[in-house]
Amino acid sequence: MIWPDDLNMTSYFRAEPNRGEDGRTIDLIIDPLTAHQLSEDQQLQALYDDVMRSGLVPFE
Amino acid sequence: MPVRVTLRTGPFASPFRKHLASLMESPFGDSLVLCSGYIWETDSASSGYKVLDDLLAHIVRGCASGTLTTVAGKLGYGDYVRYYRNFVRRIRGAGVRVQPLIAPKRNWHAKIAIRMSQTSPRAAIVGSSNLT
Repeated sequence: MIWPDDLNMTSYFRAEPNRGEDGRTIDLIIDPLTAHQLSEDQQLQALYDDVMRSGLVPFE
Repeated sequence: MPVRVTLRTGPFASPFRKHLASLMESPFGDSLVLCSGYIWETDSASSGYKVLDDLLAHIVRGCASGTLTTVAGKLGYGDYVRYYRNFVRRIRGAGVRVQPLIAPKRNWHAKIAIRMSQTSPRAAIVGSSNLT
């Protein structure tokens, strides 16, 4: 289950809750069906883009 | 993309921490994105272990001419907001430019480190170990 109010992830890293804890935390998982279509540089860029586009806000 | 999996075999040596330190100082970048659910940086007056005791020197050398972007989550638990504040202040005190971020619902949990060359990601570690 994805939490769309927190996330806007479109590439091969996507967020899922960590069910082992409280079910509401943000983790990233790798979608192998998409990942193999990307070059190494594209995978790195996708990871970075997904982190920075995940609705982050300044801390204090 | 090649993948390396590291596992701890004892309480003292952390292969993940060793590779994280290497990534922080790797010469093909000047900046770092560092994400963790929990960060263990207790108050300076506390004599106990703090994660920056292990990592600060690597961060300083690796980001001297760049920026450290931090993402922390799980801030609704106990003292972790203060620990994140301590973490940012101590790194800034060492002369590193820090951009501290949080997830809007304070629920970030992914452990990710990305070595950046200016705005381009060059290498990354996706792990399961918090900065604790």
